[in-house]
Amino acid sequence: MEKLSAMMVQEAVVLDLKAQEKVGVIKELAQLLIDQNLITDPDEFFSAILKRENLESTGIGAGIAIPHARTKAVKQLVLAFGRSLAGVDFNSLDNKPCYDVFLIAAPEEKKSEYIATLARLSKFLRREEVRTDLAQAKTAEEVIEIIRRYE
Amino acid sequence: MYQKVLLYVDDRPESAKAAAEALRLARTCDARIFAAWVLPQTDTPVPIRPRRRAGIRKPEPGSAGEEHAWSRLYEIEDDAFEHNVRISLLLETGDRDEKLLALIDSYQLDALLLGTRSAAGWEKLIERSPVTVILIR
Repeated sequence: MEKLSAMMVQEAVVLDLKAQEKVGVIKELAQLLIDQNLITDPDEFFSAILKRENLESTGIGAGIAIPHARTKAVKQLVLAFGRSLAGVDFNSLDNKPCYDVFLIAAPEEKKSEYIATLARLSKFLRREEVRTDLAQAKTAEEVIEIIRRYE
Repeated sequence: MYQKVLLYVDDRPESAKAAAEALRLARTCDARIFAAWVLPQTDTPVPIRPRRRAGIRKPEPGSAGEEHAWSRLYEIEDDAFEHNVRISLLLETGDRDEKLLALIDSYQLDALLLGTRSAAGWEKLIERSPVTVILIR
């Protein structure tokens, strides 16, 4: 499987998300992938990712959310990252706000890579030192470097 | 009937059957699934048993790593999504029985579903569980 750092899209890293609620955050991050021509059908992508989010929150606790979708509207498996300084309510099980949001976009046929990416990212983000470093990153390059360092 | 079902997940073959049954039950009752994997404490030696052939040592069921646990949980989540079933994933570390009982209490769950060949090893949990325990063989 490709490394997480290699899946990151530098132009899709936001260190201070403008949106203050979860649908807005998902749209803000998804738009960055659309701007990079990584999504062939934005409407289908939004619909897929929001359908999953509406069924159940992708907030996994500890201030992390991983909204994700596997759909024909995606060209290649990519990651976007957004950091919220104020925190966003993702209806996480621990009832705490999310500060780090990783959005995963995967092509429909890449199921095993998609599952492996979700698993690796979830494990990775449970490490407190990763979250601490991400909170202190000052540039998109630094975010990707932190991921590279710890994965 | 059931509204919030705790599905215990591990890498035993029966666990996959339990996951399928949990999805069926959730569709029937319009229930929400809480899928949980409990990892052993990292400072506790992981139990291993010698494999009979070639002296290869294979981890005991339930002792697989964190990434493997998440993979299995996300596979179940993907199946649940296909069937429009609400599911939350939980990865816990510690004593299996204590963690499952704590989850039942914390989330006010009303059934525990797990896959196992026999009830052996589960007696204490079954005895202490405040909710119905469904064993899938």
